[in-house]
Amino acid sequence: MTTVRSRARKLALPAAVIGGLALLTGCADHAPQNTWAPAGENARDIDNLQRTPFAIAGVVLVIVIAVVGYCIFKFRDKGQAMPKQSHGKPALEIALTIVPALILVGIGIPTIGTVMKLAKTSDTQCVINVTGQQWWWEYDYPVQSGCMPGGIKEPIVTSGEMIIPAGQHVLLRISSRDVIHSFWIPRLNGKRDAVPGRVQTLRMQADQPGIYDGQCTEFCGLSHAYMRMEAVSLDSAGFATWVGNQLAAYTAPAAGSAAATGETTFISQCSRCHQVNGVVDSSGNPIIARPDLNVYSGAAPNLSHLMSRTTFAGASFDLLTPDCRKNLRDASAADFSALYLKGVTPECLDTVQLKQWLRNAPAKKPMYADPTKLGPTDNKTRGMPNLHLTEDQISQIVAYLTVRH
Amino acid sequence: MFTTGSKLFLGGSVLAFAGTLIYSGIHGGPLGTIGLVTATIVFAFLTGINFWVRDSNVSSMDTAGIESSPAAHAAPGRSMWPMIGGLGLALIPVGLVVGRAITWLAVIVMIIATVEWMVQGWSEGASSDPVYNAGVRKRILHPLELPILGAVGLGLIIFSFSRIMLRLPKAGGPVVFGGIGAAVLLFGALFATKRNIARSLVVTLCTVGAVGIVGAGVASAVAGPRHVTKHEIAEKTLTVDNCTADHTEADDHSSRAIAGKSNLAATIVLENGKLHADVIGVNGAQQTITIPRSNDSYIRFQNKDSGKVRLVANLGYDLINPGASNEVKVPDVVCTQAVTKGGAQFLIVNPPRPSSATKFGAPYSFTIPGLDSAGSIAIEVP
Amino acid sequence: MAIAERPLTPALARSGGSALVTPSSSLGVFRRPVSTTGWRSWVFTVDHKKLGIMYGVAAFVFFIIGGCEALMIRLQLAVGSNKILSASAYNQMFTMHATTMVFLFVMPMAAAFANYLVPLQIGARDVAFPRINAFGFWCFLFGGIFLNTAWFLGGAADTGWFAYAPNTSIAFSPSHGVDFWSLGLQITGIASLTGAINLIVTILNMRAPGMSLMKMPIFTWMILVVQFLLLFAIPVITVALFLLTFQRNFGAAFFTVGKGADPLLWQHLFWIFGHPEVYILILPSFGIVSEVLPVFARKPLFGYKFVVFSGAAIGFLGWGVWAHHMFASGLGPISVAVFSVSTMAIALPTGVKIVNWTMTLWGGKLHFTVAMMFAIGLIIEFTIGGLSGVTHAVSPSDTQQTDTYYVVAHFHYVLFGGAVFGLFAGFYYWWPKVFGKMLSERIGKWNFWLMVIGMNLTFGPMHILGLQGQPRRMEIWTAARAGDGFFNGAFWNLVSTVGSFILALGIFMFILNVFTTTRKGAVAPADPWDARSLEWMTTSPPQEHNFDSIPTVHALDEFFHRKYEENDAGDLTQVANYDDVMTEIHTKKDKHIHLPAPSYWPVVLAFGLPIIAYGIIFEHLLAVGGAAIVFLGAFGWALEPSVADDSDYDPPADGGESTKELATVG
Repeated sequence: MTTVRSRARKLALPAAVIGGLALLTGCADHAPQNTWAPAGENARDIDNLQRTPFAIAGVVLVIVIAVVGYCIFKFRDKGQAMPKQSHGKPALEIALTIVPALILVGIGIPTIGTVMKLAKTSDTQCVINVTGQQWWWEYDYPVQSGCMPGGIKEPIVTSGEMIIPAGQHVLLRISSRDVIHSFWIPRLNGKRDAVPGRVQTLRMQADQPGIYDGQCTEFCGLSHAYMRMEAVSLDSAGFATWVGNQLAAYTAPAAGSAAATGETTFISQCSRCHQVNGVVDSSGNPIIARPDLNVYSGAAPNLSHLMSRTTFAGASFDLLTPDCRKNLRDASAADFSALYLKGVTPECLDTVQLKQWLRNAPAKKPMYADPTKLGPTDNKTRGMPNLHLTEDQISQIVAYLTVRH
Repeated sequence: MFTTGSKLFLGGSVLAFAGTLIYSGIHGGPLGTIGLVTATIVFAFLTGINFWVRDSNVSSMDTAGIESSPAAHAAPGRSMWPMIGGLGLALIPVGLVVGRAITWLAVIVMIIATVEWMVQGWSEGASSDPVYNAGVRKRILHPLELPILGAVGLGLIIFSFSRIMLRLPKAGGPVVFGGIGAAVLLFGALFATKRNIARSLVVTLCTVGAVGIVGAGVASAVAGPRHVTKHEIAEKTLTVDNCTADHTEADDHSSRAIAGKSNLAATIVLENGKLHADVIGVNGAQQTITIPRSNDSYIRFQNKDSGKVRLVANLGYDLINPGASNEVKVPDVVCTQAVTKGGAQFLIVNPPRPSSATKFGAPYSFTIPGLDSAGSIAIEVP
Repeated sequence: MAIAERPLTPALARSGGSALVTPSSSLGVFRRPVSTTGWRSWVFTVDHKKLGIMYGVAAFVFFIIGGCEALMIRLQLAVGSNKILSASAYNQMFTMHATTMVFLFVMPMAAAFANYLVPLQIGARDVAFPRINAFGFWCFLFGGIFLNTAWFLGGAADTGWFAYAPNTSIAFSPSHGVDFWSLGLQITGIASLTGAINLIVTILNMRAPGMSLMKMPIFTWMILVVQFLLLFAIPVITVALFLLTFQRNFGAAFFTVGKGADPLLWQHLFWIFGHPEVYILILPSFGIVSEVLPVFARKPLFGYKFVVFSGAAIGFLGWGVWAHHMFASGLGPISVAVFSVSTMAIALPTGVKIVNWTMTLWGGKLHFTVAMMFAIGLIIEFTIGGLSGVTHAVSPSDTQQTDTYYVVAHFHYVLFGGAVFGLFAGFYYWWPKVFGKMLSERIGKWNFWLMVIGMNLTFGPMHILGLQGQPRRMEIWTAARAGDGFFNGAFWNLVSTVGSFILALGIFMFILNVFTTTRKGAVAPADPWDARSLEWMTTSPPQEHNFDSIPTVHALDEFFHRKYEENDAGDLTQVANYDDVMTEIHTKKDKHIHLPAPSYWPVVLAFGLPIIAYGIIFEHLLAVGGAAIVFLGAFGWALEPSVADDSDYDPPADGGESTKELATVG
């Protein structure tokens, strides 16, 4: 008897797991990648669709467990006579095949409807090109009439954090520069792979301003775990401000300032790969970074407006101090855009992580940058190498980056 | 265990080996060493063969048996291998004069003849029973003969078939392919279901089929493959001359392949004398497209107008020796082959610099050489 | 070496001479192996039972290796931002865990059961091609060992078992790991393919008289379906692996995007193999459970025909669902919708099985042996996995769940709760048959309960983690994204790690059980479970020739029907016991039993394959040496008569009235 009862208890646990999930996960906590907490219409469509099958699965499981439990209790060997050697009841079998078939038809039809709805591109209001590479995401905003009143006149490029106008139907055109990655902001939509050579679309819409976290979900090599991204939704005024800021002309640091020394160091140490729009050399020629000559994927993050973002290195590390980060994340939808657009102010800048990064990037995030082992990649690195900078150089570069708003 | 002959050769091997050791220990001249080593190897090889075939004389250990053994007295059977071996030998000088391929053929023929000859010779003396002796030959040689003959035969048919497919016009290929496949399936089904079908009929049909394919293959090979037009993905060229209005030929059909269509960043269309762009995910015809830097973007060019035209992507230029007095501008240009009405082709563009890098020839654009009235599509590179 | 058969007496008689020249003393250097004891009797054996046991032992060793890899993974993920494994080591660990468990544990363990039991269940004395059977085993073993030597030669594959192109290119995975992986799996693929052909021929041609297909034991049926799946799936993955080998080692460009390749080609090839593979892994266990439940419920399998046909239906439908692994790959909405629906459809035949197992229990007389407990455990755990699978069939929902821990939870419920529980049910059920010893039921219950608790603690929380958005294959998770409250990732990750060690303890109990009962366990009765099928109609362990005489089959569950009959009132009464049935078989015993003789060549030939593979990776000359071994092995094999000559035995068997078995023993 004890065995039977403990078995029934044991079997109830998985029932609780699946059944309970359907009801509870959506409302329990603040997991930033919760797939049951939609914050935009596409994720909501998925959420509405998936609750029914989850509930049905829970019910079916309870039924199966109940029947098996009943059999265990009722038909255990109590010395009864040998049972009749019956080979089954075809009518029962057929009935028990038709019923689930009908249930599956009931699930299948709305599934197809949602698939088609999520593939629609005709209602696009704003287009963003998303390009994955080991191990960060680049976003570029094509010249277009959408996204904001008056449209975007010059292309914008940024990385790590993707800024979208709240409420708008944004369409991502996703591709990759090296291996397959997968773009996933759980609270806004399901995932879509970034396949090199292909351009694939994904709808994106956020109801409210705020930060929505995501993570590359197709295994993409050594540092896959460090390939993160954030979608930042701004209200329409905020988005226009952000665009204006991204397209603002470069202002060189005042001569003699720490940042000015930093500019020189940056040009000599970083500009091979990292573009800062508008920076010129001593003879006034624009400096164009050539990451394609140094990095296997052919790209490195554009640092023109680093301090307008709150994270760096594939959204892996914070530029904000923990307090400032918490403030930003907890800000109400109404306050969020303004707070975010302040960027990383000097009092909020967490220089510790940034300096660790500059000191030895591969130690902080695993990367293929050992200069003795780059034969297979034509002597190009995958990720950022250790530049062996001196502490002075690091401080100078940080000073320069701090004013890249 | 050791037969007389193998003892002799074994002794020779040992002597030659000892001689090698002594000679190289005393003199050490290379030519002599090579000669003695060669002698050692040859003797060892002969020892092995003799040991293996038991001097071709199974009764060598049994002198009394010679008197009574049919195996020892039986006349050797007919053999074609001496003749084939001789043919191989004769072919060697021919090959030396005519070409290496014939020499190789001769060597292969000689190897085959030697192996077959040896085994046949050995097997005929293997026992006193000719039936058993024939069986023993088969047992040893079939595992070699059958796979090799099978592979050669199959290879011949496959190769012939490939020549036929290369010869046929592009539209006819699938028809013939399907037809042959259907015929194989049909006859296969026939043979499988009609168990009592005459064996000779099956053999005849298979032979006719094989001979037909090989014959058609030879004819096709002689006639040469059909005219194949150039691959449709344009090569990147560094001189602007290669991207002028001059017409070249390309194969329109392959641009319609599924693999190509699924990879597109944009389609650029020439329609009613004007260029416009259709961009995946963007509604309406565009005059500006934005493509990422340092990444291959697949562009499909479609010509809906009459005439043969090509699309050119102007991506500025590279500077060699920038800033120096001998600075050279090398244009970065990619173009399609000429496209006729209704045709389409691919273009892969990969701009290494942003379109804001005006010093390097930006802004970038797509244009049609010789057709300025078509306008251009601006390329923005962030 | 026994190159050729000697002339038989009639042939000699024809020659008529008194001094015969026979080649017997002039031929060959070696004698073919004839040992029946010692290591030679195992290495050169072609006996399906010995090969089955070797398959089982080798697969279990790989199970332990794969399990240790799993424990390393769980240790790394026990707490956030952990540093036990480096990123590189972690990537190798999860790749090899999956590869080992799929290719080196579940598949060969199913092959172990199939090899051992199928001939016994259909009343045959061996499989159709015994030497190929041995060759298959050695290919599996050498391939598996080859695969694992990568750990010591520069690192194992680090691209995931799915090895998506172009991440497998040399630029992205510069170690030799992927080379070892692709070549190793090609070698083990030979084992699966030859095994499939062998078992299909065996099952279709070598059944006992009277055993029509619909009187065939359900386990054999499921194995038949699996062999057809293997027959068509293995060539697909072999082609893919072959392309990959050429991509990496010979400069081919099948997956080079810059030269016009489409990386999705690999995904299609991989999953056209990969999804049938799931059924290859699970159907043998379904067969085992369908044998175990009727025995301990004392009634026949409910709806035998439905179980057979649903198994066959799974075998067919399994080919039409591969793209559900690619819902996020960008196939386009039409493809996604079609594969969504086909995936839902495959739930039906699977559901039929659950219903039939449950209905087999219904109205039975249940004995809760450990085998039965594992079988019932499978019903529940597999149902959980199956139902979470249905939620994946809803493709929009799948785009949220794929590549998260929810999927990890799903397939571990299917493969651990399903496939592995089935295998353990099989261990306990057939152990007395194979080894003649009973496993301890007491330790077995510990084994079962620890495994049930362990697996639910390990994989249950992964449902939560996945739905909270924790992706798979990440070397670390961060506290910042773990959330808080009851469903926070930190807690459930830790629970999962604790669970995995409980699970490991459960499996240790099995090992303990084996050791203690082997040393001092009770000798098993010949029919300990009052079983129903043919494999119990012989001694335990069976003699080399399996059956003294091949029984004629009249019914499904032949053995049961020989023991029990319905009386006039319709009640079941026992009319005979094991001894009665055996006496009948023994009285008809065959005089001449033709059994295949052992051979050197399968192991020699298989040994050449990894040498070729090492050669391809390190030094092409070595590959030529390996090819020479393969060639010589094949040649020797082709020359060798399938039956050893009597004079090969020492002392020589005297022919005449003696049975082959006698000769072998001699």
